[in-house]
Parts: sequence; C-alpha cells; structure tokens
Amino acid sequence: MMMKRLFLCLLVILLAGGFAFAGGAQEPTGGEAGEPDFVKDGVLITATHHEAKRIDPQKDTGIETILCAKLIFDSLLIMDFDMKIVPLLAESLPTISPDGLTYTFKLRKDVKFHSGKPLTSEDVKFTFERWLNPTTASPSAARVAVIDKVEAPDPHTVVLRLKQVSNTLLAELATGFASILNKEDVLAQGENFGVRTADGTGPFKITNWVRNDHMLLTRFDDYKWGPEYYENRGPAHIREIKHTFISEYNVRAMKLEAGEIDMILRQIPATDVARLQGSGLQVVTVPILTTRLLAFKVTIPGLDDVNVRKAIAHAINKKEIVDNLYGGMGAVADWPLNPNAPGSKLDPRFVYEYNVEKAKKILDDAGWKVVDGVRQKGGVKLQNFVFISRSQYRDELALIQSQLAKINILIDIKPLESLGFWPALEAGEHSMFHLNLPYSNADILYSYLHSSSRPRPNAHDFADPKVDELLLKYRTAPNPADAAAATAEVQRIMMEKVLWVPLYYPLGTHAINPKVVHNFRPHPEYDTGTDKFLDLWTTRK
Amino acid sequence: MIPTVFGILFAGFLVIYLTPGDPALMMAGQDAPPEVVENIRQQWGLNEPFTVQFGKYMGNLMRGNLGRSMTSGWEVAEELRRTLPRTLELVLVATLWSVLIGVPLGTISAVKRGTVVDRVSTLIAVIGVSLPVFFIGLMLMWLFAFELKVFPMGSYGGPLWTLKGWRHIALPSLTLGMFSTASLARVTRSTMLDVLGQDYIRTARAKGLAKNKVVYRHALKNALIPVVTLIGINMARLIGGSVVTETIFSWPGVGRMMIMGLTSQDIPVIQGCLLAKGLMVAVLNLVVDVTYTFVDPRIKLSQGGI
Repeated sequence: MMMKRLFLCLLVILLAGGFAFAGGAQEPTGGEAGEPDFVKDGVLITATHHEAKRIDPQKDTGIETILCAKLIFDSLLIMDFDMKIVPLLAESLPTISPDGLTYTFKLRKDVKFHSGKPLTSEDVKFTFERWLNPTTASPSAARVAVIDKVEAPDPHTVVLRLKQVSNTLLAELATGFASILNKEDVLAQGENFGVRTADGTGPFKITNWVRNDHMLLTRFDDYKWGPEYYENRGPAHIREIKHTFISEYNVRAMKLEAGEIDMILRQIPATDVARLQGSGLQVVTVPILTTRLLAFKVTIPGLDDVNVRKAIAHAINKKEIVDNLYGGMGAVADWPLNPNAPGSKLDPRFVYEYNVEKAKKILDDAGWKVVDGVRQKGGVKLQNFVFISRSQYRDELALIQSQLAKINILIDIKPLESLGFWPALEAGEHSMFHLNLPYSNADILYSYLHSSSRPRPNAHDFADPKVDELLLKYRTAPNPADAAAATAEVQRIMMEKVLWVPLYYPLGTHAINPKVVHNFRPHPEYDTGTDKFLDLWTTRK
Repeated sequence: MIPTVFGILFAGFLVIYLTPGDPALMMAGQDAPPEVVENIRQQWGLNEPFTVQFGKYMGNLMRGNLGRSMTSGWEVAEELRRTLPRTLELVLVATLWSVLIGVPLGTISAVKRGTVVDRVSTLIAVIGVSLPVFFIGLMLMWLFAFELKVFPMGSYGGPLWTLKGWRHIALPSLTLGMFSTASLARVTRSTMLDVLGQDYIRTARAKGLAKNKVVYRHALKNALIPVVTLIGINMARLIGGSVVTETIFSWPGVGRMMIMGLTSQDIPVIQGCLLAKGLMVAVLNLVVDVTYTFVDPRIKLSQGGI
C-alpha cells in the first residue's frame, strides 16, 4: 500500500511540476494579420545539424564554418546574390597591372575589428601569408596558391604579387575562405584561435560558444561597411543570433513548429516541405552552385567505350530522380556546371536527353548485343559495375540501377558511410561513383580532371595532356576571352567523352517562421545558402 | 581498475587504427590536394606505426594531457570536464526514476499477482524493453513537449538544484531510464515472488504481523540483492547507451561528444570519451558494491570478496 501511494505521489508530482511551470521559451510576438511593423533589436534563433569545427576558415572548409565565417569576418571582395563580385573591405575592385601579375587593393579606412582595433594592411598581409604557409596546412590554400608575395606599403594599401596570371583569383578572394583575420588576435590565441572565439570585422561577434549546444552571436554596433547589395549596410537590425546545434531533423522541425526556434538552416528533406508549409511555415529555396553527377572510371572494360557511357547518359531518367526522390526540389542538370556559375558554357550538341530507345540503339550499333539478359561484346559483359556513393543517396543508387537494367546494363550499388567513401575511391574499388560538387566557378574542374589529381579527387583514372593544358589556361590566360574559351573547351571534351553524367542541381533550402523572420534572402554561394543577415529582422524580443 | 581502463584504451585505439577511413582526409576535405593531406598526416603522426602512436598517447595521458581535438582544436580534458557531469547527471536521474518507478511497480505486481495491476505492470515492462530508445524519446518529446507543452524539447537547463534543470532533464532521463525501469520491475517482481513464498514470510503472517510490514520490512529487503546487482549493470548500460538520448534531446554530454569524434575519426576525442566512460563505469560499480553492505550486513568488503 505504502509503495503504491509513493508511486502515485511521484507521478502526480512529476506531472504537476511540469504543468505548473510549463511555458518553455518566450513566445515571439508575431502579427496576426497583414504585414507586421518593422521591429528593431529582435533576436533570431536558428538550428542547424551540427556546429562548425572551428571558426578558422583557413583550417576548416566545412559549410558550417563558412556560414559562421560570413557573419563574423569580412573579405576584401564578396559575391552578390547574382554571383557578381563587388568590393567589401576594399574600397573598390583592385587595380590590376597590364601584365596581370600585380593586384593593388585600397582598403576602407573606417573598418575595425570587434575588439576595436582598426583594420590595416598588416592584417591582410598576415592573413594571406598564414593561409599560404605550409605549417598552417590549409586545405583551401590552393585557391590562392598563385600569390607569390603580399606587400603592405602603407596602412591602407595591399599589393598582391602573383607567380602567374590568374583568372580565378578575384572569385576566390570573394569567398568566405578569404576572410581577413586580426593578426594580433591570431598570434595571441595561437593554437586556440577559432576554437572558442575569433576577432573579426563582420556584422556579428561571438560572445559565447557552448560546444555541441549553441553559439551566441551579438551585433557589432560599429559595423557600417556592409556590402552594397544590402539596403541596410550596418549595423544589423537584429541584436542577437542564437545558433543552436540539434542533430536530429525531427527535433529541429518540432522546435520550429512550436516556436522555440525561428529558422532551420539548410537540408530540409524534400519529403517534409509540404508538411512544413501546411503548418504555416515557409521553406525558402535558392539554386546553390552544386551539381550532383555520376562519374565513370574510364579504364574499366566496358566503360572504356564512349558508346556505353553515352547510352547510360540517355538511359537515366533524371526527372524521375528529382520528382520521386526529392519532391521536385531541384533542377534536372544537362551540364556539369550550373549555367549561372562563372565559366559555365553549355554546348547543346552534347546534352544527352532521356531516351531509352536511343540508348538501346547506340549499344546495338556499337555491337553490344543482349545475351542472357546482359549486353556483351568480345567477351566483355556490361555487368558487375560497382557504383559507389554515400549511404544517404542509397535510394538514388537503387533508382539508377533499375533504370540501367532496362538497357541490360547491370550495376552493383555500394552505398558507403562518409568515412569510407573517398578511401574506397582512392583504393580504386569502383567502376562508377557519385559526386556532389559545390563550386564558385569553373576552376573546380582543375581539381577533378587534372592528371596530377589522380587517384583522388580525379577518381576517373582520366589523363589527357590537352585537357591539362586547357585547365591551366583557364587559370592563367591573360585575356578573359581566351580563359572562357579554354574552360568551354574542357567542358565540351568532358561531355563529348561522357566522363560525367550530370544528374541534377539541388536546391539550398531553409525553413523559417514567417510570422517572426522577415526580409531573409538566401545566397547561392558555397552551399551555405546564407550571407550577412543585414536586412533581416525578427519580431522575437 | 587500472588494467581495465588500459584495456579499454588499447582496444579503442586498435579499432580506430584498423577502421577504414583517413582522418587526415576528413580534416582536409575531399578537394584538398594530396600534399595537404600528407602534411596533416605528418603533423598528427598518423603515418607512424600503431605502437608508436599508442605509446605517445599513453605517455601524454600519464602527464595528464588528453590532447586536442584533431578537427576542432579544443582541449579534450576541458571538454570532458564540461560534458562528463552532464552525462553523469542524466544517468543518475535515469537510474533514480528506474528505482523509484521500477521497484514499487515490481513489488505491487508481486503482491497483487494475477490481478489487473500485475497485468498492467507487465505490459509497461514489455513496452519498456521492446521499444527502441529513439522511438520512446521522440514520442515523449512529441507528446509532452510539442503537444502538451509540459516540458521543454531538450538541451541542458541548469544544475539539478534548480527547477529549470529538473524540467529540462525530465524527458531525457525518463527516456534513458525506460529500459532499466522495465527490467527492474520484472526482476523485482520475480525476486519478491520468490521471497514471498518462503517459510519465514508465511510464519510472520501466521504470527499476525501486518501484511505491509511483512512485505516492505522483511520481504523487500531480502529481495533487493539481485535488484541492486541489476541496478549496477543497468547503470553501466546507461552510460554506454546515453548516446542516442543525448542526440535526440541535444543533451551536451559525453555521448554527443563521442559521436562527433567518431564521425570525423578524431582519435584524441574518441579515446578521451572511452576513458571517461570506462572510469564512470568503474566508479559506479564500486558504489554498487558498497551498497551491498547496507542492504545485507552479512556481506563485507574484504580482500578477495566483493
């Protein structure tokens, strides 16, 4: 009896305690009808899958790091919403010498770091030298490897001396990787730089970072040098961003619907979009510069025949992938690079439309006959091709497998965890593989196609001296028209040889509570889908 | 305890070493040139033989240095100082629920054997052991946090001497403790039935002692030895199994830290978490052993004994 009473008491206390103090986070004030009035000094609470590893864009290339870096730091240049390069910390675009080997930047004179220290050319010089220093072991240093020397002749002038002409340097200087660091802060923090905090010139500063829980960013009130494509160039309208890290998507969605958070950053499952929108939330999309594509290892018997690769290209129903697996959230890709990407040049002669009968005819004409359900020729069978991808694309692999079976090409799919994916490619265990390719411009092709990049990331086993030369020419041709022609030729060769089958361009997605979050505009650069949040305002107090 | 902890660290290091994957590549990213990846391998000594890498790690450990995260740079010891108490709180509160709910449930079930109470208790126990933690956690969150808004949806709310702290730990601890509650209820019922069938219990009732006194003062105390053993075993299981609960409820404990380390093959983080969990299990087992002496004074903690 006593136990029974104890048990019932416990249950009542538990529930009563919860009911008595129910309420949770303070509810934001949202307009019931019509457009709400502008509210200054609001708070934004976001949620993302996991946190940045460290706020050091030279040491970590993770998307979460770059997302935070864009808020905390600034770069000399930046890309606007149409991917056009405009100045940011520089007063204007650089003066480039006639030989293309000297870039002179004039820095704005009103910029300071969160600590109050004014930005000078010494900080810029230090940033690039650290980036290029082999002891930094920066994974992204290759982006600016063309820089030979950095000079700071006066506190507001920076001169970059290049080893050779570059057509891609300005684009690289406009990315989050090129964030300008505070020399004093980096030297003072040493190994700890970016681990807990970092001093930048961006519109927000880190005030607290509880690892694996949340990062608190507060407005930098002295910020007034925001990019020209914002109506508000600083300081930001919102006074604080609480950036929370919630691994489980269902929990992020529940918190958004309950009003505990205002925005889910990135990776909204296509299958959940309709439900979120039905709950009064808004899913914002942006065409990010990323392509999902199928790549071939061109030395595998069978796949070394361009006719086989062409037939595969015609046999894949990309629309079925986008509509059935991703709810239409994405665009069918006919070209390896999104047409909006700088340097992309589509050649309609090498667009392979979905046509199963055409695929069969190509194989028949090339002598690949169906025997016992499998295409064969000269003792080579078009079967047992190992198709490697990450496990999250398992359904895509299965769909492609079934599509290729219709033309009697049999593939073995092998979804792997992220850890095992690139080592498997390096080990050469594959015949075909999936690539998820984010990029800012056509120079990405160098990493994946140059013969020196074998076995990774050039896992195609592809080597062509002419292509190598053209890839270098895109980087170094003094005349922009020659550079554009070089990359166009590379893209044409790739598609003529069918080295890749572009599948689709995914969309960057965010989910917001439209009653709370106003004036949010996503950005297409580097898959983050976000930028400086300068025009954004919220009704949460 | 020391050989146990050494064994855990050795096994952990060996498994990471043998697991396919390249931590240097994880740190550098897929686009990184091979020379950058090689540079990272050199910096972290990843090219060295297993014995050299493990020897260096143990040497640093002896000096109290648990190293830094390879991917994030933070000091492992500092992060463990923050996360270890969170996991310990979660495990202890989960154990508390399992004892406060499971033991009374099992006792009532044994005393009211064959009745509706017994059948409901059995049903609760079956549900508790059958449903995955992941499912229980999300369902509790959906019902009590999202629909009824009785509790918050997760994250740490503060120390346990604050009301906010208790509100935030309620759902994760109930989730984590569900399996233990169910198993404790079943074992308590079983041992109570065994004890209630003993002659001395029948004698006590025949002598006119009140039923409650017989059950709670005589029977339950004797039935507790196996229950205490199970509590100890369950606590060890909870320490290892807190990963899923911490992930669902965004609880900043060692489990989440370990997941982060595993997904990026961050060796110092993985080793640090293994060490922390191993020490927790060893210490909690010691506490359970001491508890035996209170439950049964005949048991003494002596050399060679428990």
